[in-house]
Amino acid sequence: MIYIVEFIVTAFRESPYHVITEIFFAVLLLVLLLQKAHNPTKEKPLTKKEEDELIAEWEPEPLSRPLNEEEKWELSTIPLIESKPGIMVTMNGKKTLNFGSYNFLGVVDLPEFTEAAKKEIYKYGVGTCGPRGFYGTLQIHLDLEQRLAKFMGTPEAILYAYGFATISSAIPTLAKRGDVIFCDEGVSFAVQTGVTLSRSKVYYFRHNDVDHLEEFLKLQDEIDQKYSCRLAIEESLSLGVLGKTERGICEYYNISRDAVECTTSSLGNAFSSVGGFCCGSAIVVKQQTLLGAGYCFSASLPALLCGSSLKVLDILEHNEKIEGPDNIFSKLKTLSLHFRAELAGIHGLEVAGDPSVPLVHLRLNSKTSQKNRHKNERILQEIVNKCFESEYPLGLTRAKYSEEEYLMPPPSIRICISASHSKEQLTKAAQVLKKVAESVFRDGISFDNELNSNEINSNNLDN
Amino acid sequence: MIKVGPEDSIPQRIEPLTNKSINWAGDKFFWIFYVWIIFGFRIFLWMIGIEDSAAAWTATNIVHSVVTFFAFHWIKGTPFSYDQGIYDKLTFWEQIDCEIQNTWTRKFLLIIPIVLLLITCNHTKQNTSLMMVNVFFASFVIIGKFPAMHRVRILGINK
Repeated sequence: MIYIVEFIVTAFRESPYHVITEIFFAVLLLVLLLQKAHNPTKEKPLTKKEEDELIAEWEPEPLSRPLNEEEKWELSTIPLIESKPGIMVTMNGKKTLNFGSYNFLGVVDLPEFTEAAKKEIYKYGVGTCGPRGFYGTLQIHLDLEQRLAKFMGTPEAILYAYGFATISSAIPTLAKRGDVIFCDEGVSFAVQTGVTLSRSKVYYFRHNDVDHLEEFLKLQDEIDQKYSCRLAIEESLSLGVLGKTERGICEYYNISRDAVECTTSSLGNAFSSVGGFCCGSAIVVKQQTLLGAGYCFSASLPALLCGSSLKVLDILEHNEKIEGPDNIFSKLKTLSLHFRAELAGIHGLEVAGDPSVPLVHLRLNSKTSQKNRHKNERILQEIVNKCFESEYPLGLTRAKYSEEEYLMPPPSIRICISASHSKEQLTKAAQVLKKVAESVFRDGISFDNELNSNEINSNNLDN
Repeated sequence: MIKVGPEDSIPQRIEPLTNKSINWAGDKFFWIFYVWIIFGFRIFLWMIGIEDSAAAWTATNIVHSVVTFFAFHWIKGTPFSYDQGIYDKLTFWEQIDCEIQNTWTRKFLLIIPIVLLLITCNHTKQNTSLMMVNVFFASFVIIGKFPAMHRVRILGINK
């Protein structure tokens, strides 16, 4: 021990800085070696007693938890559909005028539409029994993809078997972790799922607020020093509805489809089929054949549904040659304007949406709307029920949303006008709606004990 | 000093470690190889005829500091694309052992530059300025390995 001290002292006399440095680093070494490994995630192991306690007090959760009152009521409002959802649909045993299906083109009632599907059943059977990469590709898939690409005016298109999965598979192939997505607040839940799955940084801008988007883009510009963005549009509700030849929103606003990187649409709405497609440049589409989760890992679209989509494309192409009031787009426009004009002055409700669009949302106006969303849903459901029970039964539905939506739209009755509706049907329907709304807001609604019906009456004013 | 925040959630409970760019750092063979290559460099300098032990050890120390600073504390991310860039903001040192501090791997990799510095100081007893040069170079790698410097970027360099 003494020798060490002697040694250090002599060394210190020789070269003091050297010894100081060495001792400093030696001490540092010891200090750092003695520090405990810091693992914040590892939990302390439990003692036997604690383990036994936890096991004793554990109660298994039910496989499906019991529904609460609101959910039970919601379930009870779902009607039973007993016929094909054409213009007339049999709901809960009664034949009603169908306003709930997205049957914009009115093809569901056409005999050639079902014949096209039947023909494919006889040829291909019912299911494809495989994903596109594993014996699931049929000639009709390729035909439909080509036809869709030609219809939309893009180089290529790709078909998905499930409308929701279309956009939520397409977006992650275009953007990934580290990328930035600017998304409208009011997009559908499928788009929200897609942007979440992409793991990119998402900025939601206020619905239809271009200035807010521009603020975000300017911010990004500062970061990136460039202003390049790619546009992806989800056209489930605008394809087959907007545009002189029903080619969607680009035609409606006279923009070239080349400005859009990737367009997706569900075939379940205007096309009255099942599935979805995405169209764009060859790179965008071919990327999805490898990376699109819904394409690679789900069974492909059954041939009968491809057949019916092809038939709808035939109908739309035939429709291009028709000018004047029989053209589907002008029919939809006149019917929508007519219906909204007939609905003017309805008690307690406001008619939302662009006037020439066949999708009408009836919402409670500021005077009749309650603070509690469930109460609002009840009021609207009462209107729906009374319309169902009137002497001219209407098949209405409330708009349904997922609980996980980014922006929850206000509760509404969603009315879909079809090109096969006639003006008289819409006039009568509007009259029924007005009568029912008047009676509901005049008489109040019988709620369960927790909801106070007096609140409805006191809020009722003329219009 | 700007702290790089944990915006992306990097899975902490991965067993076995799936980050293939650093899961070999705990291998004992790597440790042996690391020590061997440092001494190999010193011996190589001896073999090409550098007799001055102070200069040779200083050279070893400086080369080791520069190379390990660049490899451990400068290069970020992984060479693999399948982890989708979740480690893109982390240097090699920060990725070791899923960011758990003071594990034996980290302690070993911390001991090596300190011991090398001690050896070098011992050999440069006479030349204080040469020793200061050694301390300067080695301090980069030693300070970079402190637990307090985890995810810290001084002055925003290499963010």
